[in-house]
Amino acid sequence: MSHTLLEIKDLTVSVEDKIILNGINLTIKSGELHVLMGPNGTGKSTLVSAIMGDPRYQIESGQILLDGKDITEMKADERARAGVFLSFQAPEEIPGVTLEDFLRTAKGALEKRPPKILQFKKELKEQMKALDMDPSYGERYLNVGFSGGEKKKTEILQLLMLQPKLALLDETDSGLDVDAVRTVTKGIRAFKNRKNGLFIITHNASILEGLDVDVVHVLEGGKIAYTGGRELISKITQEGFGVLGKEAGFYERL
Amino acid sequence: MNTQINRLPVPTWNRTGVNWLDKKALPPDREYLPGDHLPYDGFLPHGISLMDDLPEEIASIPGGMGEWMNEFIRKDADKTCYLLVDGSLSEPVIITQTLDSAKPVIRAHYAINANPGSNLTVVQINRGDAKDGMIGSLTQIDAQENSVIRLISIQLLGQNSHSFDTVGARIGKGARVEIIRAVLGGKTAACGSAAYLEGQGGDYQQDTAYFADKEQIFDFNDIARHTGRETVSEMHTAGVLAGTSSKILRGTIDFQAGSAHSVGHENETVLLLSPSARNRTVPLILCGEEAVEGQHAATLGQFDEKQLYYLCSRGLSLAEAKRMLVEARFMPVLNKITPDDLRMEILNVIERRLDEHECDS
Repeated sequence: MSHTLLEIKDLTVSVEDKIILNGINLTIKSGELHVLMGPNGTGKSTLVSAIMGDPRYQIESGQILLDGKDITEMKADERARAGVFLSFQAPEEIPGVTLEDFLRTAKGALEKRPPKILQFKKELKEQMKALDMDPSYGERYLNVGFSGGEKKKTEILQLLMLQPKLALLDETDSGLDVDAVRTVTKGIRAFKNRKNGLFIITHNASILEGLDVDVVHVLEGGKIAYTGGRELISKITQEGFGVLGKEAGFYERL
Repeated sequence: MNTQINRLPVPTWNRTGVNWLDKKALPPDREYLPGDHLPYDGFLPHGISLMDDLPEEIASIPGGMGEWMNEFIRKDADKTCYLLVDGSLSEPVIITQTLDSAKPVIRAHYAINANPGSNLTVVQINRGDAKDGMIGSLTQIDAQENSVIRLISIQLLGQNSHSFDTVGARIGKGARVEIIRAVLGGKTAACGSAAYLEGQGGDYQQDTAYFADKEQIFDFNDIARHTGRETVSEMHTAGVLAGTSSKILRGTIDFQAGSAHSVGHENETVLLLSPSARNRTVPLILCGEEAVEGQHAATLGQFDEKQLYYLCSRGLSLAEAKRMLVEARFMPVLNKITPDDLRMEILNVIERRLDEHECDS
C-alpha cells in the first residue's frame, strides 16, 4: 500500500534575494515516478536542490515533508540520512578519494555502521557490471578524469548502492549518447520499487523508455503550471512548451 | 652561522622573505658535538651491501638545502648508511631515527649508489622529540643507467624538535628517482631536494604532503635541474596549514643547455584551515634551452563549498566531509608509502591533528 513519500507545501525559494520558486505544491507517493519538465531557467534544478538542502538556496516559506516528517530545516547530510538522494547535473570531482572508498564511507554514514567489506565489494562489482562500468573506475579518484557519461553513470551507481527512499535526478541524461542513456534507464528501472519514489528532471523522453511514469509536471515562472500524465511528455517533445498554453483546459492548470 | 639555507636559485626581493630559510627555522642554538660516524647495522636484504667509504663523485652531490647543510651533516655525522645496490629488490630498507632527551641531536648521512639496472626503495622515518632537538638528514643518490630508486621520507617528530632533510640525486640515462615525503611534525621542518637529470631519458618524480598547525614553520626548496635530453621532472606538493603555522615552498625547474625535449611540471595545492596561517609559494622556471616544456601551478584556498555539499548530500556530516577532503590531499603520497602499517600510522596522526581543529566550524 502506497503512502505519501514527499510532500511539498507552498514552497518559496530564493537565491541571493531573488525569488526562484514561488508557492510550489507537490506530492509524490511511494512507488511513483514523477517527471519535471519546463523551459530552461524556470527553476527545475532549484526545486530539487531545495529538496536536497543545498545551502545556496534559501527557503523563504513553505514546508518539505519526507515520510510525514518535516525536513525543511534539516541540513543536506541529515536529509540524505533521512532518505533523499540527488543525482547531480554536474557532479563534483574529488581528487584523492576513490569511488570505492567514497561509496563505502557514504554507505556507512547512511546505515550508521561500516558495511561489511566483502559483501560491499561484491555488490559494487555487480552494480558496476550492470551499468557497463569498467571495474577499474572503483579505484579511480571520484569523477576525476571521468567523461560526462561516466560521471552520470557514477551517479546512478551511487543511487543503486545507497538505496535512498527518494531519488531526485537532475538531467541525468544530458550529454549522454544513446547507449549510455539506455544504461542509465536500466539503472533507474533496477532502482524503482513500490517503496521508493523518483523525481526526474529531463528534456528528453528517451530516458523514460520502459519506465512507468505516473505524473508529469511542467514548471513555468517558478510555479508548477501544468500537471498531467505521460502523454504530456510526447506532446511537449513534439510541439514544445508553447502548446500547453493553447490547450490549458485539457491539463490541470494549477 | 650561514643563513642561506634553502636558498632560492635566483633570489627575488628580500622584502618577500622567501629567498632563504627564515632565521626562526635555523638549527637550534646549542652545542653540537662531533659525531661518531656510526655505520648502519640493521638488516639489509640480499643485493645490497654497505660501503665503508663514500666515493667522491657521490659525496660531492649537492643537496637541495645547500652546501652549508651538506657539510653540517656530513662532517659530524652521528650515523652513516652508504648503500651499494646491485640487484632489483622488492623489499624496502627501512631506517628509523628516534630523538629523545638522551639523544637530542642526530645527524644522519645516507648515500645510495645504485648500479645500472638496480631497483630499491628506502624508507627513512624520523620520530621522537626532545627540547631543542634536531634531526638532520643528508641523502645523496647516484642513480645510474636504468636504475630505479624510491626514497620515502616520513617525518613524525614532536613539537619541540627541528628537522632538516636535504637530498641530492644524480639521475643517469633512463634512470628514475622518486622522492615521497610526508612532513607532519617538528617545531620547524626544512626540506630541500635537488635532482640532477644528467642522462638522456632520466625521470624524476617528487610527491610531498605536509600538515602544519599551531606555530609550526615549514620550509621547502625543491630543484629539478635538467641537463640531459628528454628528461622529465614532476614535482607535486599538497598540504594543509592550520593555526598560525607558516610555510614557504620554492620549486625550481631549471632547463640548462643540453636538455632539449625535456619536460618539467610542478604544482602545489594548499588548504588553509585558519585565517592566521601563512602560505608563500615561489615557483621558478629557468630556461637555457630551446624545445623544452615547463609548467607550474599553485592553488590556495579554503574548503570548496560545492565539494562539501556534494559529500554531505551522500550522508557525510560536515565534519566528516572536511576530514575526507583533508585526508584526500595526503592520498597521492600515502598510496605510495610502504609498509601498510606506516601508512596507517600517518593517517592516524593526521586524524588526531584534525581532531584538535574545529573541523565543524
